[in-house]
Amino acid sequence: MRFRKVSSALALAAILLAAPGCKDFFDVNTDPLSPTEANVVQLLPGTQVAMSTYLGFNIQGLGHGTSGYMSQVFNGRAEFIQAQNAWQTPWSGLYTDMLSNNEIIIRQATADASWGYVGVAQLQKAYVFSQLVDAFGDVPYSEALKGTQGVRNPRFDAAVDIYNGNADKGIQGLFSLIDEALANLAKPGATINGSADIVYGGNMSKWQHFGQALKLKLYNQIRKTRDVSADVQPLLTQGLLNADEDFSVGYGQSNSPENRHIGFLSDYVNTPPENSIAPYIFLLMTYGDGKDYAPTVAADPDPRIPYYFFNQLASPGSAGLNGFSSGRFFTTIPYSTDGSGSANTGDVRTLPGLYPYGGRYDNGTGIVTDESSAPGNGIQRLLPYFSQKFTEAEIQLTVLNNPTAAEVAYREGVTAAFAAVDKVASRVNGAAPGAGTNYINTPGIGAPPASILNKFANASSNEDKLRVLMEQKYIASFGMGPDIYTDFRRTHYPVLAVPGEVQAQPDLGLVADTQGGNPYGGTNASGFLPRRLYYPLTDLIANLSPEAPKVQVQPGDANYRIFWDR
Amino acid sequence: MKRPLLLSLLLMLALVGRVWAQNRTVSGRVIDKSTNEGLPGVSVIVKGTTNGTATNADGQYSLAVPADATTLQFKYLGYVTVERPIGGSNTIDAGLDVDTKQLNEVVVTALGVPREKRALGYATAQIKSDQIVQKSEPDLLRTIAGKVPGVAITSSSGLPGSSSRITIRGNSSLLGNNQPLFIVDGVPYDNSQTDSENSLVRGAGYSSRTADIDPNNIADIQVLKGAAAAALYGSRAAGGVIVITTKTGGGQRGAKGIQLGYSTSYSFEKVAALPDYQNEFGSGANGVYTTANGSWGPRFGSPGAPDSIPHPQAGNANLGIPANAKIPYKAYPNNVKDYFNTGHVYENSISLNSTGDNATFSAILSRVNQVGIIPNSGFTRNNVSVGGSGKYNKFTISGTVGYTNTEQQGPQLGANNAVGNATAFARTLFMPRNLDLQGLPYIDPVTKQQYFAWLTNQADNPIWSTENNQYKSRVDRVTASASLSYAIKDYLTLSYTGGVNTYTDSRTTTVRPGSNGYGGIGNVLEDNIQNTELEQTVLLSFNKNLTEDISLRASLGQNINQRQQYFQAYSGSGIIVFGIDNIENTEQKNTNGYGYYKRRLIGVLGDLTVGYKDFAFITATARNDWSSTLNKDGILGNSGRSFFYPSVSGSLVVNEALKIDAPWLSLAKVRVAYARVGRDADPYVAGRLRYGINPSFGNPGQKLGTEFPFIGVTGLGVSSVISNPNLTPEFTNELEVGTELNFFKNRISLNASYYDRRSTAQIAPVTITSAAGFGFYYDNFGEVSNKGFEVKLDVTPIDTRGFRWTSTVNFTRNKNVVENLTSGIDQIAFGTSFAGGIQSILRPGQDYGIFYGTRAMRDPVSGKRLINPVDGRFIEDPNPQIIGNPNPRFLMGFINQFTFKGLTLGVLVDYRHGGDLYSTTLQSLLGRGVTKDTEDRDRLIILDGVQGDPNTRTPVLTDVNNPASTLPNTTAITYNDLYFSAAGQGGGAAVNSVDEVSVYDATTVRLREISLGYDLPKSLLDKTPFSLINISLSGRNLYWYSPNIPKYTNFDPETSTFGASNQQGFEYTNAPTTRRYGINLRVTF
Repeated sequence: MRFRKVSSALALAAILLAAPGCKDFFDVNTDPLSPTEANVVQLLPGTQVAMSTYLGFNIQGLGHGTSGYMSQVFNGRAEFIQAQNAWQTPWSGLYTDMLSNNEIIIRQATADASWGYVGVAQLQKAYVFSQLVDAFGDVPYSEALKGTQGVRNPRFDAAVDIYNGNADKGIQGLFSLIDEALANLAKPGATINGSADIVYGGNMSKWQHFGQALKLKLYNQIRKTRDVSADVQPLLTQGLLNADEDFSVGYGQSNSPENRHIGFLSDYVNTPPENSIAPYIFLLMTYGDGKDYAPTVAADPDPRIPYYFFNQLASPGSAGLNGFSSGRFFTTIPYSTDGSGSANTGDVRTLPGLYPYGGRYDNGTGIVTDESSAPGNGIQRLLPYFSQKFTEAEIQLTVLNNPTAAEVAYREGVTAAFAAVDKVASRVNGAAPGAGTNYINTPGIGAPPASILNKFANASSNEDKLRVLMEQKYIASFGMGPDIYTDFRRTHYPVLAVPGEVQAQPDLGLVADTQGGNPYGGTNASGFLPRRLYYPLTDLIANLSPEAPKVQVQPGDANYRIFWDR
Repeated sequence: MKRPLLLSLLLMLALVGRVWAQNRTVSGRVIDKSTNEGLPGVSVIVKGTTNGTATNADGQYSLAVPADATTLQFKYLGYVTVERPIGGSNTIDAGLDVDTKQLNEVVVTALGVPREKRALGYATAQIKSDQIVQKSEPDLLRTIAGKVPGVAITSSSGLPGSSSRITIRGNSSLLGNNQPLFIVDGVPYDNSQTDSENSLVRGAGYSSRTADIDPNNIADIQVLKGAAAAALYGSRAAGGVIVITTKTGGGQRGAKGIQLGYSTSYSFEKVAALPDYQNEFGSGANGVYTTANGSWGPRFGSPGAPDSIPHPQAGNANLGIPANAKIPYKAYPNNVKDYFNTGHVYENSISLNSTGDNATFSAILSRVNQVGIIPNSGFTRNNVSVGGSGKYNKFTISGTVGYTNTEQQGPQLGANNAVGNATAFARTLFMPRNLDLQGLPYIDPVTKQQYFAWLTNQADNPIWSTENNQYKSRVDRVTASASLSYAIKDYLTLSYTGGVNTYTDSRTTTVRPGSNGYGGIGNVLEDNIQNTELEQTVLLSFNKNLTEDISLRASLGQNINQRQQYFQAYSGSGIIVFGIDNIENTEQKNTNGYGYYKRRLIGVLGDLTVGYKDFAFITATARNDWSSTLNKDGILGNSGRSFFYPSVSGSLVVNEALKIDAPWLSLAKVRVAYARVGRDADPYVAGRLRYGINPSFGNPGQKLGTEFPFIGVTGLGVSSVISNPNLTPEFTNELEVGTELNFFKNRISLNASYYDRRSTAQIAPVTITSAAGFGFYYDNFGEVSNKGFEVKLDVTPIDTRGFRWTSTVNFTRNKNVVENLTSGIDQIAFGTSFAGGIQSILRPGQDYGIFYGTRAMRDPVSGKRLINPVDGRFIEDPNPQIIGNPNPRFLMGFINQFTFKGLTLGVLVDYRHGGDLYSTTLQSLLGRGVTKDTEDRDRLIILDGVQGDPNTRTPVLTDVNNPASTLPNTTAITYNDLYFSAAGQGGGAAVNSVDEVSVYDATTVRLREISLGYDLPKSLLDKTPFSLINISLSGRNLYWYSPNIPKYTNFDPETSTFGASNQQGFEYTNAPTTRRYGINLRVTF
């Protein structure tokens, strides 16, 4: 009969409905391509690369802007009058990409009693939060990173409480966190998978040394707030970083997946380059004195110069453009008023070279750079051995009043800084050659010259010794903007100035290029040097906690200077 | 599933009829008088009773009638009802006339159900095939622009195949899809636009997928605007529905026999307009020659101007240019114009229709070939569709299968200031006036790298870029649908419609080595997108007159939908052999992201219309959906949440109800509707927290980031989005009232609607502080409202002696307001923007998607801008402000058609009032000093404003106690400085200034479409095999006037860098628009 045919046809057609039960029918709301669980081995490497990305010397990190503040480079990101969202990328990157995953590691590893991972993640957490405090001041800390546990509006903790802890408010300080981490690392069976650890390859004693070094750095950081001599003395005698134990992330050569240093990408891969070199660091390294430079002083060039800067010009000159020129070194301030736009100087101006991120070594022949000019497999130094040595020198000089021990640490620091150059040079040398030639044929820079090694001893006073020390730390730390910016606010060194200009004061900031008619006098920024970075506006809006700031902290505010800034 | 079944049973009970005693049988045949063909489905009713039947496929019927019956009624939608007395004969035939009166017009409503227009309690609009074909426009959506009130269409650019955005009655979702649902022959058609790259940075003229629809095959488009009209479509209907019936899918009956049709069109395509360039000044700054991009140098031939300048590639051995080579310093007036080609659109379509006694068959074969104005850009669409229908006793079966292949290619786009871009338009429209684009070398014969005179390092040479940086897409789409219906009783029909719509989109985006983009080593991206949608609907329909005065139409159905998308992307960098754009030809290869979703939905739906005496109607609909994307009771993993939404609408033909029999009044109808539609979430946002495999940090898409695997180490990273198992559906409630008034035998007709729609409990990610460890949290919050008027006025001013002038005015006014967000969230930014740059935001109390960016500080008293008295420039407000609104205040369309004998002239003029555009092309045209707007430049300018203190950002007051004691600005700046400021220096009128100066009011009146057609007289055709020959001329976008756009830029503000997305009103050096002139031929055998 006809009707039966109809019903069978309809039944066939309605196969979608007929097939499984309703439960199965709707059970498609799980993304088959994305895991909903991750183990600590899989999470750890991302936290380390994220840390390097958002603290490092690149557009996405704090590095470019703060290096611009500190007259190491010029770029479009170093405005003294900060844009409301100027630091949004590093801020949100550190919290969501780095600390969020790091916190999951701490939680999961604690539950599994994987004390190695707990300790490593706690040290990473302490390090990153110390950087956040040094840059921004009060930040969400004790209530942070709990978005999936319903805390979507974390309060801001006072910077001083984050460092020192505050039992009344239930805040574990960073020193205490480091101690807890070190205790976890010391537990029996505390190991981590070496292949997951990009920084130390799973070497637990290196992590312990890093924990001690971080503590030393943080005590030095707050040395003006209280007497830290009792705290630092035990640290100085045992368990700090050894020469081959830089806390750093080394980059690769692959461009797909992109493994090269992001700073390299913004200067060599993307057009036009992001950075220009600020004359100050070049002059400091060329004449050896960032304070008293005058054109009549004989040049005593630092041997690291060809490793630091790459001159694109083949012969001395300025390519017919306004700007600062010295030999083949040529620089101009982006968007400066002297008629030379930034874009047009992209293929003539001097760029960061081999040392900061694995760019090109300057062998005396200029070329217009592109991405085949260098491998880009540099190192993002975060807390390198030389930095620890300079910190030791500073503590010996200022806290413990021991200039002799300070000089020893100074000399070790300078030597280590040269070794750090060699380390990148051999890395670049070992890279597969691009454009048919090897990137660098003479990787050995050798020992530092006596003129630099003796500079500390020759300084007339302790204050002058501190200046020399901070100048060398400033040079060595090229590409570590946040620490240089922090050091400057603590010590007011180096004295960022150029010939003919009023010396910059930390309170006054640098002289903008629009003032005084000097096209290379300072940065392209104007106004006063910020003593802290702006919170991202989006976060000021989004965080509804009554204990979160609603507006930026302004210079008139008692809290404007971070507590260690005195 | 128990509840849907129960619902069906309940509704079934309502449909039980009565049984009658009969004692005599009459039979006969009902024909269409115009074709003399039998008419199937005609209701044959004994007048005054509910006793009746329907004719079969051949128009035959047979009906038992009571002995006392006197009259038979023959009723069919769209035809004039006929009555015949029942006399002694047992055979009663009838011939029906097509009802030409508009008031009985039949329209296709939700689920394909044809309804008398007078019975509708809501607004719909119909677009007929002749309004969209042969208009020199291959894009379906663009052919609709200006023709339907309530519908807004924005085309993204003049690139062949580029997307168009369509919204009906505004945006109802905060961040979700706001475009209408497209239903083609009963199967949904995905109109999303998928970008291969970030359109702000790179990108291309991506298509939205209605580009695959062949306008030649469209029989009819119904626009269901409001919630009441669309409610039966359920979860995707909040943005309205566009129901398209194709010629092959409609199963329509034509004249008996075989009919062959052929149509062809050829259109020329030109760049719509270029600026009026100044040819007095070359590159430089403030009258001094430099190798700058700006044309602010010395006047050609003036004492300060060089006679010649160094050849920009002097000393280049590969090019063989001597080191001391010089080029003249003079204007090249056509350097921009000569970059563009004359494009064309060539369309051919062959159709075959065959109508037999019980079956129809139709097939259509079409091809569109478009070559764009930009070198190497084009769009080709090949379409084959076949369809047929057949009737056998009480069965009706129809089906259609279509295959479409579209191929698109075009240049790279993106903002010219984005790092690493390779756009063809980085400098094209505003390059220096003395740059000899055509005469200077553009490619290195050895390395193949690009040269762009002295701008080589800034941007890719446009000629090189269009030759070597290409986006290509190939889409293969198959659609198939079948429907089957069975007339259980003459008043009760069971039908089934099911179909599949699937496509793959294979794309390649290439930047060849030697470009400024991707570090100059070349890059290939490949994307493969697969999208499949399955849909089926089972419907039981009841249609019967319960008494002579009361008609009942009801249906009950079930609908199932599944959507699945999968996409995989790969990238290769370092092209090995120049010119081979294949990922195999690269040094390093990697995946470049992936995406997948699958979602399912079941709906049970019913509707019921009761009519009284053909002048009062009330309709109620109800639909309940179960969606896989939401959880029952908010329990994670318990997907398949149920949600219900009803509608009710009514219409009353007042003149008939009140028996007003005025000769001047043909129809006075009022209607009112209230409806609610729901919307589910996107897949997985109500699911578990997810982790990403091999995360990346920074911005790797722009070559400013780091990707895993990192030196061989793999990893996972937690998503920045917190999902929410408790999500509930979004609901849109809409009240609509309207009227339809026809006067003087429909010589004047007015159709007006007012609506107020509110969309609540929006599903959207809330931006949370990243200090919580995550960027977003999904939640239900907020409310968006749309209130507006739509008016359509049709007038036939002249209809005499073969001359007929019809005129239509469409008016659309929509106010789209973000009523509230969740507590504490002041605003939400969405879309794509540069860090610190102008953004689109949603803020309570403000219009949808307003601009938020930098502006000059204002004097609180006078509202004037503050000027720094030292440098004469604006003092910037450190806090971004609202600086523009992209939503037009109203839209109008004026359609006039004149017919005389066989001649038809159609003219469409449309008008857009208000709505802002942020344009970097305009900014650059002014800032680079290339147009006549900035030619008269040897003078100083004093910016209008009051003096301010740049440090405190407050006005300078002569009397500190009197805030009104401001001083007018007296500091002059040069014309150059006005339009071009150095960064960080304070703003002027264009480049490097505050964002607000580059926001322009896009008010435009436009001659969008004109066509002149001629039907050859029948007398001429009698001796030929042709039954129709029509020749027409058409033109598109022939003229526009935008009073608030700088005069000499001739800039067309109908443009959008972000295509079909919700972010509108932004133009970042987009490709220009086009103008077309076409000739068309249509013949029927």
